[in-house]
Amino acid sequence: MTLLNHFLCRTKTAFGTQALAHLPFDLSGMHAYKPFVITDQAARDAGLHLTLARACRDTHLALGLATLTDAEDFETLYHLFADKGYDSFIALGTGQVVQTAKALNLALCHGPEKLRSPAGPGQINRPLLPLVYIPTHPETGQDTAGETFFSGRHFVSANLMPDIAVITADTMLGTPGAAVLDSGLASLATCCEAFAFSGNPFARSYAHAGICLVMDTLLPLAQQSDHGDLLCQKAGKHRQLPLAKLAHAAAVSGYIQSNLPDLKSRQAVAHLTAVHPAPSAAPSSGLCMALALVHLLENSKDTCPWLGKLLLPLTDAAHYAGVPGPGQPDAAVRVIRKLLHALSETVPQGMPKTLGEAGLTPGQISEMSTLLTYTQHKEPPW
Amino acid sequence: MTDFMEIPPGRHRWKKLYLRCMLWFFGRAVQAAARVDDGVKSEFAAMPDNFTFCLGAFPSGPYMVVGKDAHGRVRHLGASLADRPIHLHLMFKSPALLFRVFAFQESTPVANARNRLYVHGEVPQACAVVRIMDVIQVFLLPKFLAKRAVKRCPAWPLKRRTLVRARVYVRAFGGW
Repeated sequence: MTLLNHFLCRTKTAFGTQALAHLPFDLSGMHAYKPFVITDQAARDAGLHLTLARACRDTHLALGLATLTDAEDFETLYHLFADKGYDSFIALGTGQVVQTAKALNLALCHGPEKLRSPAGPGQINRPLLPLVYIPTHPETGQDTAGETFFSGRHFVSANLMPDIAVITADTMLGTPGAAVLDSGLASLATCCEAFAFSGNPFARSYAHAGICLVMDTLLPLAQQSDHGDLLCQKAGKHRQLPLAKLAHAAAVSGYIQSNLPDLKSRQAVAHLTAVHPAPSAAPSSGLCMALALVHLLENSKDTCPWLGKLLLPLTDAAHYAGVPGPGQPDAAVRVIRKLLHALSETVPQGMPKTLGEAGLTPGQISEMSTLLTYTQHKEPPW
Repeated sequence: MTDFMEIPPGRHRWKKLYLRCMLWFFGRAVQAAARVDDGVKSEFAAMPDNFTFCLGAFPSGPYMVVGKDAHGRVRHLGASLADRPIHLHLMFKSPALLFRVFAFQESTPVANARNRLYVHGEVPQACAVVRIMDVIQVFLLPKFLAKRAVKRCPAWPLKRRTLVRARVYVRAFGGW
């Protein structure tokens, strides 16, 4: 029997040395010759706009650079873009910068009235202007996902995914340890859940890459974060590449989120924050997702057919081959627990490693267990 | 208030000058090697007559144009793409990427593997041009640089390493 799987990733990911030098060529392939760059003050202070301008030397690209200083500037940006004849966007930054670029793109292509009410899947049908995403920090995957928030309204469409994501060590800024941890754990949870439960071979191959990137970089980065870099400055030389890899993992988790919107670990974040006795003291979203993932894996150890295979991206081929098949699901969960334990030792005030330690009562945990259960496991297609 | 500025595209003047000089000399070396080296001769023999190819950088050069005329003679045709049909374009995606290859920071196979160049034309002829480029680089460069420019330095007989190489150098300088 042939299974039908859907997976759409309309973003081209450019990663590594001189990835920025490919940008003028890639933009010209989309008939974009006058990009509008949106950035934030931290990236501007670190001189990342000059790095971008250097990559565009000897080309026809004239950049318009807008630095976000105030969330109320949307109308100014709209008029700047429309009046000066720009034809594409470059979001040089993460979070607010990308959300603004996506909302602006939506307003310019569908009219400003489109932003007055939320739009779900299927309501934004026409393609938008080319959008290039250049992260300056690892984030939680929302920037590359096909969604954006504007004034509290949620817009969902595959057209909102960036056309190109350029991830390079040259544009990585100093990132605090907490943000590194949040990003890494969020990406790990998304990728592990997609790998074990989605049954979609395309999502699984992306998830495999994402898990390998996180496992390579998260712990070494967390262990270094005491010698943290200055914010608003480029990350130290030894941290730039691992941060870029983590940003790559976050981008991959964004592609997965766009295609698998019902991931349980994502839903657990809202639930955990809602039921937590002190919502302001609830763990960060990445940590919530990681704790939920461990709980989810424990619940599904005996029923999920792919769980044992998760050991391969979490460790390496030699380790995977050394563990007998029936022991692999337990070994995979142990690796994640071990990672959480090692990470908690790098955080001065410690870090919860289970839902109980995060402040949930046994009753709330059993309520979470109901939420964190897959009733149907998709069988592997072979 | 949003801070806004416009950044016009800048110029890498020295890099472009370096690339122009390198491509000019490289083109003349291709012409010379096509006359004195059997390996390069046989690669050109397999190409059709009146065939022209160019090597350069997107979007505005610099370029090196080499052609084979109706009598089978190979000529360096300068740096202009105008006034002649080009049958094969081997283009790097930016002058900075072409500079990395000609400054020996990256070999041609590595640049290819990193998706730095694109080809417009027939693939077998593009492969032949890349092989010719490798031979010319081994002729022109001392071994420690040639090792960085090509995937593997070939073990050539003494005559090819010395006599043929010297003839390529002399002819490239003289333009014969």
